[in-house]
Amino acid sequence: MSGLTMPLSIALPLVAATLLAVVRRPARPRRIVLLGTLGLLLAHHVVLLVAVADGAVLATRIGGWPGGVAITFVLDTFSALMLVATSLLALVCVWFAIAAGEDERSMFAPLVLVLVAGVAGVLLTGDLFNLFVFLEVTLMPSYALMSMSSDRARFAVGRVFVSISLLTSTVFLIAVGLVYGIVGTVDLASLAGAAADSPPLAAAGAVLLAALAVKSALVPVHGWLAETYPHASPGVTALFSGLHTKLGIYAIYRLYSLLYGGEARFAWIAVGVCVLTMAVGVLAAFGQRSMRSILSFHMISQNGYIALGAVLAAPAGAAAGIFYLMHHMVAKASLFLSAGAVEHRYGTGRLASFGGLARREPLVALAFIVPALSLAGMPPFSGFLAKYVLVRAAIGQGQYIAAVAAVAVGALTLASMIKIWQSVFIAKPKDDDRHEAPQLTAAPVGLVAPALSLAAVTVILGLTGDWLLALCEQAGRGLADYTAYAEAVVD
Amino acid sequence: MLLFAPLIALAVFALLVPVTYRRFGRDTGWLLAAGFTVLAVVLALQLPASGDGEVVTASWSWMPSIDVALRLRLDALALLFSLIVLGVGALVMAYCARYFSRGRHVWLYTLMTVFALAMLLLVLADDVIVLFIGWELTTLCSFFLIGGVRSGAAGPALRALLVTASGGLALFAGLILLSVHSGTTRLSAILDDEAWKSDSPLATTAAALVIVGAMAKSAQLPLHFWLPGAMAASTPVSAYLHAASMVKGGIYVLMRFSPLFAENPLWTWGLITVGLATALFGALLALEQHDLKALLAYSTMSQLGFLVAMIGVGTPEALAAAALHTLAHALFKATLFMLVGIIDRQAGSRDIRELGGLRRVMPVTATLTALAGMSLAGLPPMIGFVSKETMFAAFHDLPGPAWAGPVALALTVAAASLTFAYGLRIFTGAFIGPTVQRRLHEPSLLFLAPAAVAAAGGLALGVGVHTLNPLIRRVAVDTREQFAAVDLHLWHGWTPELALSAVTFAAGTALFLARDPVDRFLQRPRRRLDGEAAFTACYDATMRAGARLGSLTQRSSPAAHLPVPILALAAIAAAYALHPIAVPAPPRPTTFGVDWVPVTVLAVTVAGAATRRSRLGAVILVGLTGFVIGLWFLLAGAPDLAITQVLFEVITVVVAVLVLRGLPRRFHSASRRRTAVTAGIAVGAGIAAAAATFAFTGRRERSPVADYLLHETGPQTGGSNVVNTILVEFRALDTLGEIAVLVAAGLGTAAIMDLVAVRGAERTAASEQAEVPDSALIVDVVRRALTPVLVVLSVYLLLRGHHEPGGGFTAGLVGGCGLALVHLSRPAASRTPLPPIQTPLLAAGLLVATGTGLAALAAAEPFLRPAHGHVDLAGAHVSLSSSLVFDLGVYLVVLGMVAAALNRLGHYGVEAASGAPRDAPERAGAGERGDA
Repeated sequence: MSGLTMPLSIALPLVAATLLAVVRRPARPRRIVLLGTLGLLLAHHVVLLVAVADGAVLATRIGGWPGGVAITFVLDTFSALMLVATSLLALVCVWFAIAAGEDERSMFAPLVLVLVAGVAGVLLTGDLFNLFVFLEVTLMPSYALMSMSSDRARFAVGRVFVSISLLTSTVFLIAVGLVYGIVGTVDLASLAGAAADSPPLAAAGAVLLAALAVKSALVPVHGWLAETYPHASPGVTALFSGLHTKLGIYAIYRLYSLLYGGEARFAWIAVGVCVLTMAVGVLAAFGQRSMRSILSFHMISQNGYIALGAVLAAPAGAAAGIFYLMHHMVAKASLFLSAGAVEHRYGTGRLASFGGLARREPLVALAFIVPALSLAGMPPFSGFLAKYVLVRAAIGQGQYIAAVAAVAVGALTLASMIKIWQSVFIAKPKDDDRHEAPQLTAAPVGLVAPALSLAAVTVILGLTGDWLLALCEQAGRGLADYTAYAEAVVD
Repeated sequence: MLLFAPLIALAVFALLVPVTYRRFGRDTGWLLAAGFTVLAVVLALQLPASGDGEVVTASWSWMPSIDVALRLRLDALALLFSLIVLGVGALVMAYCARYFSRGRHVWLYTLMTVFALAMLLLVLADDVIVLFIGWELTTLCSFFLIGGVRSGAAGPALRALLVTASGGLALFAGLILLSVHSGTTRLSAILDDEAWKSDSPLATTAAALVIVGAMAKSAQLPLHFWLPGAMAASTPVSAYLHAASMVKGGIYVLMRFSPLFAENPLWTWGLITVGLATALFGALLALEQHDLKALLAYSTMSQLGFLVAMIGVGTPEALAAAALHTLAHALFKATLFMLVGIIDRQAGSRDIRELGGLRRVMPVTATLTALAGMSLAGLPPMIGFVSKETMFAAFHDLPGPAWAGPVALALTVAAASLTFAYGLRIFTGAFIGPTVQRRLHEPSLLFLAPAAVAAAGGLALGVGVHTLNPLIRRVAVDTREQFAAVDLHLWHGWTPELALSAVTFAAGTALFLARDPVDRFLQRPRRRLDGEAAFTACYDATMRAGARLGSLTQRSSPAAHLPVPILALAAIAAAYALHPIAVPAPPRPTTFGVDWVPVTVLAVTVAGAATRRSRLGAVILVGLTGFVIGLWFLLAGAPDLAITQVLFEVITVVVAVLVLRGLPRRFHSASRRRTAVTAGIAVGAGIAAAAATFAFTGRRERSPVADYLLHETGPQTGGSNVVNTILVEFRALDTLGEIAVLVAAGLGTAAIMDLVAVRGAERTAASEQAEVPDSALIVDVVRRALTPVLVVLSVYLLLRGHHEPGGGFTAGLVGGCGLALVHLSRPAASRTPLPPIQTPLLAAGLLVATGTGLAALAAAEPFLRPAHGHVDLAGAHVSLSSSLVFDLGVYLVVLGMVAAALNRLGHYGVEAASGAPRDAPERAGAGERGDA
């Protein structure tokens, strides 16, 4: 299969965005166009994944210029997996947003589509500067989406989100400039393994990784995420959880393996960051008092797990980390969507305001507890497999501290999930007229279905996840050895 | 197939429960009991073969990529536990059918079936991962059964879950350690790996992890406290959980791993110490209970202690004794729980202070209780008697120092005496003495039947204990690879153990007879070892610590979040600077004398911008910085960049000034300390960035890409402006991304301002429109003169961009300046300064640009491949390129973006100014919160 069609992943949503920016009503065809575009993208990405499932690498030089001059779109198993996962999440989260009426906000649809185009660009590009550009494409619509929530605190947190993102982008851009200044190219394929012989490039790479660490909310640069995510509207939080920090993690995987591949001299710093991230995130999550705050801090903790996969030696470490990433994107979005369904209906996410929802809303309870247990690494859900492969990789490589942290943090993860479960779903209902609200499950394709569908995915992956494990192994091999990647770009 | 069948059958049962419950109601319990019995019988047919050492295995490749397979293995040990799980399961299910009222119990029956499935998976697994899955599933099932879905039992359920799941994590780590170093997840292969049979640090670590897991699961000190709390569950659940599942999981795993660790000192002495302490302590606690169910709960803990100690002893005889006692305990504990449930149901209480004399009204219940109690107390002819004597005998061969055996034996006898005493108490408390409630009667026979079967089983297996010889001896082979020198008979002859039994009975009877002083002693006020309180304190402390840790970063001010990333940058620079690395000399001089002029001006403007208190002043100085950089670009020979930069600064300043109208004129004042800190951070980051620029740029020859662009631009594109061809041809994708950013910015501004406008309109509907003095007369004159010029200029710049400085960006910005003039010349209070052209402009621009890319794709060329052509127009040779169309898209987007900024933000300025009285405190509040 030729890689010629890859740019459709950005062109398609951009065209749809222009359409939906101008045509403002009626609502129903707009929704069909929005969901249809996202569905088409998902299908396109599945086709691409099938094409590279065996470790093949597809490339297309944008504009047809010679290698080294043109910006190249490169697709290996890792980026294909990410494309499929992100477009699946975009589809499900937008489905929720439509069910919750969030899409009625002005410009919601075009902004989401631009965001989705940016995500595809980040995942496809084989050019460092172009990566920066597409990161910007994802960020700009996000500023607006973040500030469109009805939460009173939205402007305050919007300022945090915008300023931290701008700072991160600036730092990243500086680093891209330094990389070009040092080696005279920003073509990723030409950078493979380059940092090993070039201390300046290693330093510039460290700046790149530092910027990406902020984006991925790794400790100690994690605070902005937990401060901002809970205040966006539920659908947007779920969307961001699936896309934003995961792009940072994707870029960390890509650049860490590409620049430093196998270099273990500074790995202890990276391991330290991961361990701290896991521990700080989960501990802070345990102390929170509202659903999405807990979930947001958890995301930080889990990002530590995922980043650990990048730090451990490829391919085993990367394969484990990528599987963890796939699982986490699904489980986390499912949790944000079920918590969002509750919040949307009851108007609050404070644990103390709830009780007894398990009886009133058994489907919501199911949509929550399944991904919650999965996130805590319990069998038979995907989280168990993810935790297993990651801990196995850590122990196999003698990273015992990381392994102990990964295992021990699991207990607190479980504890905080049960904290939500017991106070929202089990505890005695509070006498409060909020609970006179109609049952969430009343709407057939309602608010719960998106969360439930992702919960089903985590169950299916837990029981029959071997195919995904195999794909992740393939992806890990791709990160361990960039020969095929470089060849595809040159050809 | 023999091994998969029961698992599949149980899964099917669980799925069928909702269906059958609709038809049969609570009698579903009977159906499940029948199903369990069939499965038990099928497995029991394997008994003779297993006794002879036959092992049945089965395997289904499940996750080949990680070498995890659904491997099952049935040896004598697995068979013993499987029969306990299924047999007791059948009895409990039958008991459920009468214990529960006719309400909806679908959930409970389903969970109980899954519980049995999980236990069976645990004991049959021959893959450590599958074993662990079974283990965790039992934890989850017990959580939901204890109180996962009821508000009343949330606390006990939480403790049970967190303690056993944490222990599970230790086991998890241990299992992975074992499998990674043995290179397989197959349990039987790991058990054959000689490397673990030493006391190497690795082996000891693995042993310790397995022990911790089992201690949590089997409620050993100090992780015991969840088990008594777990009696919050309904009685059938307790019966199953205590007798056959959950807690027996820990015992099973310890026995399963005995082949590896039995010689390890930590294993031996750790298990003996923990086990005997738990046995003794649990028995003492049982003796002080008045609630029969609580008494039984502590009794379980104590009995598990015996088992753990036996496994610690680790001789084949000890493991045989442990196996036998596991069976004995399952039988009598299941009976006792079921009977206590019956008493509770009939008499309405489980407190022995409120019960008494029930033997007159409930003689059958009394008899059954007596039988089970005798087994518990170790009286002949029950199976409990034989198992206890076997355990006494096993201590004879305790390895280690000579004093260890007698001490352990003495402790065991003490614990057994206490067991005897509380066993007596159960019976006398409920059945002896004056009959308090005379109107009671026996429950239906169907309700009693399961307990009767279990009690009879204890009696039959006591009398016929020799039939168990092959199985129990084979368990010793499975766990210690040797035949055990045990010969199970009800009557052993006059042995030392018999004497110890006599001592036990005597001491137990004495304790019972002296029950008043014993009670006074036990009930005296004292500091209790309260695991629950410790757990709660720990839980709350962790939560508080977490809240504090979270609040460190929960700051709504951006300023609180920005320093750390900046400091990280400085840290990288510092770390790099510590490594003395030669900086190569630049191939050409990079610094010229004239450069110092912009540097000096920049330093002044930056310093000024940073110190201004006036917002307007700061904005103008920042704009000035941009102008100076633009000039610097010009000096360096980059007119395109210079023009773009300067135009961009113009637009930015215009928009910023419009926005500033709605803000206070001066910045908030900051404390001196804060100013110093931020200045320090800023200077550090600045030095780092400058040093990196100095060290890393301009120190190599021109890159191949740059050479290509300089030489090939003309031949390849027909253009001569390298900068513009990079933007619209070579790196058009970057440009496409950038205009997507602009489109998002324009649409986003519109969307946010729509929100603000809606709310602002609500807020200021009543208030009078603020009058802004009309000072735009001069601007209006300028506009009339300049606007047509700007329009023409912008089109000209767009068209010539391919060859001369210009292009879509520049042209769009020039056009934007025209729009700005038009805007500024209108009355400031006007609601719609410009027609709403921004959205069509943005959309059209993006569509045109993306469209050129797609057009190439439609022609099977790479995305964004420009098409070049020549047209001879009126004799002139005009070269055309599709990149001009792309550039038109850029032009439209830039124009649209400027229009959006002017329309929405300019509008906002007025809006916010008029709404200021209410708006200001809110914003100031947000600032203060962050600055605090």
